[in-house]
Amino acid sequence: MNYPVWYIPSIGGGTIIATIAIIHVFISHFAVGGGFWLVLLEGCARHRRDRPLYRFTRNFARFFLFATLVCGALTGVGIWFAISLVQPSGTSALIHRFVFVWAAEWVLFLVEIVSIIVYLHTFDRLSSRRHLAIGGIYCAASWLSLFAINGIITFMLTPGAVARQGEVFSAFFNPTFFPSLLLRTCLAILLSGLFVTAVAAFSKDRPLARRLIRIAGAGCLVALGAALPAVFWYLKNLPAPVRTLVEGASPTIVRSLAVARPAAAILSVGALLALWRPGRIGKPAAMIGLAAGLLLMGSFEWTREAARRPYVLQGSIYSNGQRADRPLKEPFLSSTPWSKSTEPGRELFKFQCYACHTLGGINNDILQRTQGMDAPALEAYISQLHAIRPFMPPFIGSPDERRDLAVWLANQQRSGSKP
Amino acid sequence: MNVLVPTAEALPAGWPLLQGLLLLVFPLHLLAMNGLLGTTAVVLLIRRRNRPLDRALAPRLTASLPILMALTINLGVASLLFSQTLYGQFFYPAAILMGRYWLAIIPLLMTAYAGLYMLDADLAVFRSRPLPALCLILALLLTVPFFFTNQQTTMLDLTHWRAYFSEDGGSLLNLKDPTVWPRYLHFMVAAMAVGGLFTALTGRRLGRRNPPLGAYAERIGLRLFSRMTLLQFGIGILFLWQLPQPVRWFILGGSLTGGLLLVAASGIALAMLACAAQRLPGLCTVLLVMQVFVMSGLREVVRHASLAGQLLPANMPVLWQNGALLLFATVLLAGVAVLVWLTRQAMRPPATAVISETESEDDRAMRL
Repeated sequence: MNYPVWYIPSIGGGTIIATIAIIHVFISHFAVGGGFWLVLLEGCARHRRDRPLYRFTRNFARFFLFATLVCGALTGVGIWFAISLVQPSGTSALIHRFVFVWAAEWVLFLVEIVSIIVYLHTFDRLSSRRHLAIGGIYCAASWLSLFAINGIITFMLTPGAVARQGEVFSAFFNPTFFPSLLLRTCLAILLSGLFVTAVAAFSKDRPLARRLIRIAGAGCLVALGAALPAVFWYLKNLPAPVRTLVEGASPTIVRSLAVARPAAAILSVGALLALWRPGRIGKPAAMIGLAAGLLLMGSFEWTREAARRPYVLQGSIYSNGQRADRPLKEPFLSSTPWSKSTEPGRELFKFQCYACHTLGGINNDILQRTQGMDAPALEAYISQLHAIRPFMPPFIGSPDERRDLAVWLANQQRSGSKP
Repeated sequence: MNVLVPTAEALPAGWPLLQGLLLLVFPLHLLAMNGLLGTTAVVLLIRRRNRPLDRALAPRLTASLPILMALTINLGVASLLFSQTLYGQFFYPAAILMGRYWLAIIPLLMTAYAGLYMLDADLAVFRSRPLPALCLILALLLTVPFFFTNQQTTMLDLTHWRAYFSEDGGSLLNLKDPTVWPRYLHFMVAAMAVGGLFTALTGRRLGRRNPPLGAYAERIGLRLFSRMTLLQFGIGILFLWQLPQPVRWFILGGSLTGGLLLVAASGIALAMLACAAQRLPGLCTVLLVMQVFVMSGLREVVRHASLAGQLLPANMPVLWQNGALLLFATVLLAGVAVLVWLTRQAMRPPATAVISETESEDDRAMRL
């Protein structure tokens, strides 16, 4: 990697990306599914001349615009900013491969913004047909936006047999593109249903709230039901090494799935309750539903990210930013212009371990992971790293550099982890 | 070649095409950003004066701010995309050197954006004391371009990159670069001018229904626009003077393109002053759009001159992605058509939908 590393060892770049990404995917899936709910509720309200439902839809649209534009759009830019800092090689490779897909997504993003603003501001000014058409444009643009980004994200996990940079479409429609698209569409309907429930739970018009919670519960149940085969389809299309990780070989994924299961259970029970006894879903239950939705979404994203290891771009760039075709025994620091020679151990940690490990921090602390190991043990472990833990990239460097890293890590253990 | 400059990736299309796309979207981003920043300053100014006409004008201008913010962000995304494609090997190191500030841009923008929506919604918390909220929003909006200016100048100042070896925690601003402050001032004064022109255009629109309010907005807007454009001559000369001599020479005659663009920019600025004096905000707008495109071109000339020997477009490998390019062109055309239709819907007069003024919004909606 011939980029500098933004080094904040107590926090870690991965933690920053994960924090922003989980908030973003939660809001952005709401942004995709929410348009569908807006059009559905407005259509119902107009068809049945239901004034309370119409007023609710208008207020929901106001909340929707604020949440999706202020939090959704900016955290999306935030992910981009963060990955540019933490994974510049991977970001650059992705941008150069998919620049025109991203540019098309930008156009769709612009259509989304303009259509939702026009939708909100023309609520009582346009005919039903025109206004619903504007809502429909928003729905289409936001789902196509998901379609575009889905191709790029799935490429990172399952690039298929793509080799040349110019081959965009075969890279885009990669083996997990369609299962992921179906799963994300279900998650979008589910999360937006949870938001409809939450906003309805705060409504003072209880009969209306009960009706809405029942409708949203039905939507959530359908989405959960459809998500299940999508998950199996997704798993089936994963390459064998990745599926092994997901099925239990990666401790990170095991922890992540331990969160997903109770969250899915809470959501299933909640959706059934919403259908059967919508009056029981008050503000606390709605908030628990949203929290469970956040955990489920976060767990899915965390699993997907962890399943990609040891790569950030499957088969070509390791998760620490090093190119996979780099010779493993080649001296590392002398061919890394942004490293300095005065502290080889620290520099090796920074360029090869820090992308996933913090030093005395909360996420994946390397000092905890190597507790009780002395320098010779660490050196032996580093030399077998990829063989023992296939989800970790192999160490790149000379035997002397491997020793430097081991000694430095052992010293950090002794000194109590001050970077 | 500086060893710290990373190896460039193969371009997905020819340099001129990508450069053209950047030069298409970046000026649009600048126009939206300048409109946002300048108009926020105008709102603060008139809220502070608090005369009857100011009180009537402030909410009209405030209503536009969240929309301008949304467009600024969207167009900024496109600019960053093409900028990273063309200049990634300079862009990423510059952002990493000042990582803390670079990432801080996101929460700063989110706070300002949320504040603008709340201000527009006239929430009780802001109604009684709008000035502190506006000051905070403006301060945030002024901070973001300061960080961008630092990042963009760090891209060009490769000698500053060596500071990374003593500080790798992402807290390196480029404050020792003499061009940083003039460059930042140049953008901020431009923003105030655009804010003035936006106010004048809003006045022109309001004048159809409320002539005194319209005339007032047009007068204060054009006055601010003229003063800031005049001030820009001084700032521009200061900025030019602070550029490294070889780069300055590139603009002052060393390059035909650079020289022509500088002459065009100066001429357009004079024409804008004349139009503002004649109270012609429409013509001023046309000239302003031209000016922003010309200045963006000049900016690229400065960038290429600053990176002479490091940035070699002719030597960069190109792997044409014709299919993806065609897809983008199709989506762009369809998107523009949809945007035009949406804008027409937004402009439809509500009067056509109203039967009587006593009719409630709900009743009207049900009838529609």
